[in-house]
Amino acid sequence: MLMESPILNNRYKNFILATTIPVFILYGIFMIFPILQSLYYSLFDWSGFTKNMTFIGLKNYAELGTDNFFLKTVWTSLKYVLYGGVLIIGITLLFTYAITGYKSKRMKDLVQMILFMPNTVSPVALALLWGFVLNTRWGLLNSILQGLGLGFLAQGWLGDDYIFGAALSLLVWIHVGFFIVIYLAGADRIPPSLYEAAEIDGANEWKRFIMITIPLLKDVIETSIVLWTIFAFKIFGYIYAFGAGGCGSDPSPGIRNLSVQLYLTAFGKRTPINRLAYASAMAIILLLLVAILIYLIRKVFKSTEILEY
Amino acid sequence: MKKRYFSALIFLFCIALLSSMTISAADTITYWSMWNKGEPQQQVIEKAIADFEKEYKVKIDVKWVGRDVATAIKPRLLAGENIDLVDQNGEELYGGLVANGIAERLNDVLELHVPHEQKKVKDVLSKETYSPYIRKDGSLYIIPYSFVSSGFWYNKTLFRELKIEPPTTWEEFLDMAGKMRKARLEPVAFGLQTGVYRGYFPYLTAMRILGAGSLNDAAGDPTGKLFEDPRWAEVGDVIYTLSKKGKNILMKGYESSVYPAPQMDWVMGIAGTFYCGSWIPIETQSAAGPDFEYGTFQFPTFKNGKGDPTGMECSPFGYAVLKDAKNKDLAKKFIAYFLQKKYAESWVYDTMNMSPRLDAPAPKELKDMKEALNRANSTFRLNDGIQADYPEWYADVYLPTLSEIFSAKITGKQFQAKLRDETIKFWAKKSK
Repeated sequence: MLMESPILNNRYKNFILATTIPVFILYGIFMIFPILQSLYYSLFDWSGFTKNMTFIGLKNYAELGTDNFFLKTVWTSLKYVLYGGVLIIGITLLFTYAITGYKSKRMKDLVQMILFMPNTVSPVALALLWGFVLNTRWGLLNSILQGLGLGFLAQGWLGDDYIFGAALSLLVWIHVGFFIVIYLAGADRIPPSLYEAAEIDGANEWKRFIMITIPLLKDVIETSIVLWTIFAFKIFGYIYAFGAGGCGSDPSPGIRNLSVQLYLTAFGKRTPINRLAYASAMAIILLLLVAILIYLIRKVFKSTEILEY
Repeated sequence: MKKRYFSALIFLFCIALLSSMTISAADTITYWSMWNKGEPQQQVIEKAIADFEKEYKVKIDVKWVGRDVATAIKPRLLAGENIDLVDQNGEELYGGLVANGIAERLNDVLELHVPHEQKKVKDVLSKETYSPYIRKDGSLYIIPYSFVSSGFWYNKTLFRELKIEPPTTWEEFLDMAGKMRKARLEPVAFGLQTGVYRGYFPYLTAMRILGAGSLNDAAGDPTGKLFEDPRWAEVGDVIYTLSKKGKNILMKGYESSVYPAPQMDWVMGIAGTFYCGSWIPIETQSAAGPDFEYGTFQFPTFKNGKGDPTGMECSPFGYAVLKDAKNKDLAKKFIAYFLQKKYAESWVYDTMNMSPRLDAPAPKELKDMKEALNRANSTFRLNDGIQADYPEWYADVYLPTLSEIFSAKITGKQFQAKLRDETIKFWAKKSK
């Protein structure tokens, strides 16, 4: 009814314009402009300490193509996307299965809250805590393994051979708690009548989860994969603090994603690389990589049918 | 009557205005510090600032930024903000401000008089604390007010009990390690995953075998020829000897050990020695207890080593002045002011650090280190300066190669070849 009146319709349009234009302006200033600025800087040789910049065209991009260290961080970021994605989505789905089975709403809320809790704590604190848990000599994990008579399984988790897995386990722990909230909200939307009908047809709980819950959560799964892809490239605090090694050391190369490498290249700290323009080129590559991956994910999910109810 | 009151008020207002203007922008130093509010070091500097302001009727606008000060000043400088004075460790100042040509030459500060003393700055400072930072053209861009060094830390009581004398040569060092193994002690606490620790032994071995400047020169040699010197293989052999497949001198699990585990392993008596900086007593004293007898000895020497056998690391913490700063002269005056003996003593006793002043005492925990410095004929920069001079080479080539030799994945000869090949590749990529 509201849209049918031409006067109201005009007013509604004006309202939409009045509320969206400021948003677009702010988006332009704080998102688009910095991206364009990064693109501009990436064409120079520039440390960021002075205004003196030397135009070098696409040389920074050419160097990135032969920079083994940079290529390694791209590969590490992709490993986070892939391994982290499989683990996080898999574990989140298992938790969704377990929690949706609870009859008590209080219990559901409690478990959800416990899983989400790490997301409310500072990334630096969590990363340091995880470092202590996995410490070879003093760590909780090796102590538990030894206590259980499984000392042969105790490893140097923070060494080169295991450090990627150690960092990944931290990210999985944190993000399962984040995604479970989205998954449970999605699962709660599914009409109970569908489960009741399946139950009458003789489907057990697991089958109902596989045949009803997962297909109807497809849009949620897609969103979570997109979000995780962005996170995997952008996460900074957890990786920086976890791998820093103390004493002002930089994070281990084996766990650096693009964001961490970008920061170290731009600022460097104890290792004062200070190549702000080169880091800007990295930022542009990061943007392109994330955009391409998201496009591919969307394309894969578009090709599969989204069920509605 | 009213007019009189009004005139009096105007007069008072003018007086107030004038007095507030006596400390104008021209008399204000903008100072960005690496210390955080509340740290003992910050408190010593803050006291000196208050005294300086009172004595010279000027203002020091200080920002206690913390360790990321070099990063924090970047956007401010780009925005055209005036910063006169910055303090930080020498490597970061040289890698940031000096490398980018925005630091002021400070040789003239050496000629300034230290207030209330009849001596010049150059006469009160130990030259060894800043000489490695003098550039080939004679320019100096940092004036130290503190310095750190490093050495093998040991518990003197434990050494007495085991009848071990601090070693001076590589053979004596191996002998010491053997005695410790017999006493069921890990000889050396070590953590490969902490970059600072990883860098110590290889660069110190190079300083002893090839001499100060050898690593820096080789890192900056695009032809890789300097790494063809067979003594680089000897450096690799020494690291291999320390590793698990060599004489197994480093503590079990060192490949995954990370700060602060190694220093705790040492202070708890699991390991007999630990190589680290002069900040160790500050970080370990609560765990060590009051009776712990801190001692240090310097990195051992090698037969036919070309380096100075007395040479030791010296990393100053000091001041840099910005080249385009508005109040450079006043900032330089403050640098000289802070080098007064009373502040140096306060620095030593209140912060448990070493002062570069020749007549400054050393905390008892750092006595051995200060004595070694007094005996030293020369000093060298941490990692021979490569971290500041060739930061990308350090991160991309050097540290990964060290990781391989420490993990005994490569031999001494392979270490040498890898450094040479990767250095050639690195510089070839840069020249494109």
